[in-house]
Amino acid sequence: MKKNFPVCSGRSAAALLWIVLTCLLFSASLGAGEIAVFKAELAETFTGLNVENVSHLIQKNGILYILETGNHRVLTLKNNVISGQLGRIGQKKGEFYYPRDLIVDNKSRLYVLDFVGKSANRVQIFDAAGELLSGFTIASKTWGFAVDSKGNVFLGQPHSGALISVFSPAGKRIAGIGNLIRPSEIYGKEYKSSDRLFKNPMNRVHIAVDEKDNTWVSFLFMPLLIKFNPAGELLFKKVVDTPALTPLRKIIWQGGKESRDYLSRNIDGHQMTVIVKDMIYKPALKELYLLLGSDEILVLDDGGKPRRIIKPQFVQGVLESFFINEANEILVRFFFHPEFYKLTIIK
Amino acid sequence: MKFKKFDKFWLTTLCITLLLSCGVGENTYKTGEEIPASFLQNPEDTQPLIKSGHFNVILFFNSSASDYSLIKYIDNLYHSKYKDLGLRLFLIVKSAGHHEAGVKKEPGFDLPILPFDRSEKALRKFFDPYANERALIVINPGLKLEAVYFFFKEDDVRQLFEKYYFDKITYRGEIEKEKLSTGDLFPGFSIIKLAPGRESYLTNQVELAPRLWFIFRSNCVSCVLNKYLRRYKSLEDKLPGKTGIARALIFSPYFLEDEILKKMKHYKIAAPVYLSQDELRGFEDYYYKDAAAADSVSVVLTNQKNRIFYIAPFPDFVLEWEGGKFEKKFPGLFR
Repeated sequence: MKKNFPVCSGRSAAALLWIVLTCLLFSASLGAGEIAVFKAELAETFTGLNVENVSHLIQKNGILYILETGNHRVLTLKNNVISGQLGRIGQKKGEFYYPRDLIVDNKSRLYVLDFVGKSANRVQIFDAAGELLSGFTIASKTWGFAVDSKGNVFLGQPHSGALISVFSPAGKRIAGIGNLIRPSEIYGKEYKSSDRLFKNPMNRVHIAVDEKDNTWVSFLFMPLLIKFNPAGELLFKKVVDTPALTPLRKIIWQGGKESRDYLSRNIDGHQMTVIVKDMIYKPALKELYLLLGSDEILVLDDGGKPRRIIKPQFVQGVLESFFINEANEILVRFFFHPEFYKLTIIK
Repeated sequence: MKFKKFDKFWLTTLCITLLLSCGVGENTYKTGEEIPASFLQNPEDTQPLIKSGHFNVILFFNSSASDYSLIKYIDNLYHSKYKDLGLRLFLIVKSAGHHEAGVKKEPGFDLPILPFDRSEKALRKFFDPYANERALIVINPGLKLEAVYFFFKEDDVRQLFEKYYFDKITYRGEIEKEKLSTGDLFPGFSIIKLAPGRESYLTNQVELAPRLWFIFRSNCVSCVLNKYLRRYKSLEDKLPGKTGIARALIFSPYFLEDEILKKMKHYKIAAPVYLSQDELRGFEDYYYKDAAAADSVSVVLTNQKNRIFYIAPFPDFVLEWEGGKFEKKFPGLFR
């Protein structure tokens, strides 16, 4: 198929020059040579399993925990051999129905988030031997799931009035963290009229709790990163941006043909282009990894300062999620391609 | 104590609200609650449908058209294993239309489809049928509500039946290689030739000649009808014409005839298209429908004795074909 490229007029050339200069300035602020280009190669993560059923991978102390959403269970693998299974289909205690998130804490306790009924979410906590310790149900849909060193569960619940609701392991809501952000604060005053309508979807978040129990929050539909201290007090609030991410700030509101090149999600009844697709905190490296809507991985230090941008080069399509194993290798997953791909540095 | 007119209004409102909320509580069954056998009646013989001593499963579908493949799969599952074990299974389809008739006319399909207008009241005791696309209600042999699942796929139904009946689930997650291999006899299926505007006819014999078969499994009906047929069409245009080897498409019995015909017309597919009436032995299992093969489509080359000469997942065949390897492998077949 032949593609038509626009003819570069004097005005557009000036605009192009401006963009190039801006990009150079941005790159300079991150430090020279800190944009790493990677290629994605099919990863042999585990054998004998249909990866279509897998939604989450966590590696800890040599054990690979696999959340097999499609088979309603958690599998553990040691040396690429299945060593255990937790749960099976159902709604009773210890059973799972479409488990959608998994956390393994430092004591090897497992926290599984699944569905009960039509839209209620359930958290079940298991010890390292797979014994159910406790569980509780939240009547509403949640997005964002994390656990602190005390075993408190953090869930993104904007309709509760705070960004995050904190629950004790017994299921008692003990705190709310963070005020809801008005979309116009980030996208400009012209979107003030949308503040109310988009209050809930725009405040859907990814949550990570670091080794000091600080809480990191990034937003699915806003280029914003917030860090709270263990008491839930604001440490900083920063706008996340890269040259490739900038166009998404318009696309998210305007839609159109360009939006087809990016991942979008329907949350709270609104289909929107995703700005931050996934977030992982690596305690060993003291680094925060953000998978951006532009399919770059932005790596930030403990203070939220950008360290590098990982720019994968691939043809497989749009990225959906990513995982980092104990060897600090990054595995990515494409939308519509269930396989996992390992990123290998090119330059 | 005297109430002002204003107070009376609010008191009445409060009482009505409380009464209504009590009513809602009373009318919605909860997990573990006993379900009266009389709650679901067969309109024809007025006998209670659910029975103690059996697992009773009520499946609700918003539309039989979109869930045709799933309904057919459940019917096969029921007949191949669970009918004999005493499972009592009932379907309620909200908007059935001509697809309901299509399901009913299937040979061997005898799952009761209860009319929605007469079952709506009973369903409302579990959920709002207007707010849900599909639901699966399990009532245990003690006539207690076991669970209600509001979304489910084929393999979930199989896993649930296995859990309740055998307390053991067989996970079919492994990626399987083609079960058949070179030298095997190509299995015979009872097939209907589909042709737009022409009457379909049944045949279980096809001309014994070298033929390139494209076998379409039903693990993702919409993917096959859209993505794979489009990919097949772009390939068909590159395959040799009348002088080349004959080719044919066979679809799993879980596909809806009308849908295939519509897509054939849309993509202007020239090759003959067949709908299998039997289990696609060797390609798709009636019981483990969701069993993942290497791909949704297999390509098989048979010889004059109906033996398999070549078998591969569709993407592998495309790579071999486009790289010229296929022609090199079988030089005599393509003129």
